Amino acid sequence: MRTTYRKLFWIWELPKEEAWINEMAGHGYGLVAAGKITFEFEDINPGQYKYKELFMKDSFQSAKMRDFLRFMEEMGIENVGHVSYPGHTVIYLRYENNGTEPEIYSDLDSRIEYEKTLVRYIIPLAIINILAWLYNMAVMIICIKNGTPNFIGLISLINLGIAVAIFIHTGKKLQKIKALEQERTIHE
Amino acid sequence: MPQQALTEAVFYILLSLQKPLHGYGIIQNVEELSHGRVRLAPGTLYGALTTLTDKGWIEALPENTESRKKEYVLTASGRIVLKDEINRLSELVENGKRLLEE
Repeated sequence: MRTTYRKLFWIWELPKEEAWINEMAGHGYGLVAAGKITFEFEDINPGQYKYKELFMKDSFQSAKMRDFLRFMEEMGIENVGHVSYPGHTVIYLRYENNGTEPEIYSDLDSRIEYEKTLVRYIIPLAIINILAWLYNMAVMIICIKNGTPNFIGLISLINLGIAVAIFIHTGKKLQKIKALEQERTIHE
Repeated sequence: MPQQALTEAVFYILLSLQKPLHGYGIIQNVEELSHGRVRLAPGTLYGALTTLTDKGWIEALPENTESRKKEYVLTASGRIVLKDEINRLSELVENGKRLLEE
């Protein structure tokens, strides 16, 4: 039986989303399709599969992505869904659960590059949100001075909130990247 | 310019590809060669195979119609790189042993 859930995860919350999908799999709901806020599950044996999400810097239709997914398929890793973002894609991968934690990258260089991919994508989003907030605040102040008050600047606090959340997340990611780069100076 | 050190993953991939192998075969072979110490994750292997193919150190074999799995094999230039790396590693080991014994 298929069941659809609606749940919002921001793009920087992929690990949280992945944990939720794996929790669902543990309860017998296996992901079979994903949208930006929709997740479609079908009945599976609890814990039969484990899921991994990847943020890739290629579009889903690109030859590079097709080649990558084909390689994953050869490894027994199945692509069950994807969500497209400008120039990027989040792919949802499914493994048979053999009791080990699925890993996509085992070397430091690939792990560093992977972390940087998301950071490079979300920083411009934060800047756009800051600019939107500043612009709306300016509009609100001008309107108040002209005697036609509006509250667009206050509504735009959402933009500020998003930007702050991105910066907090970016800070954590940069710390992780720094730790991996330090590790790379002495180990592969 | 002297050849730069290869990563352990690349070294073992080149070593494994003296005979044609597909991705999963490489992972198994590397794990066996390293007695379970080196476990290549699929994304890392994919990245390495792409780079090594671009460099001409390995090549993908024409696809077999029976199996959809792509096989790779070491090229002549890959063999030279592998030999150079073995020489480099031998120097490391010899120097290490000699200085530790002094």
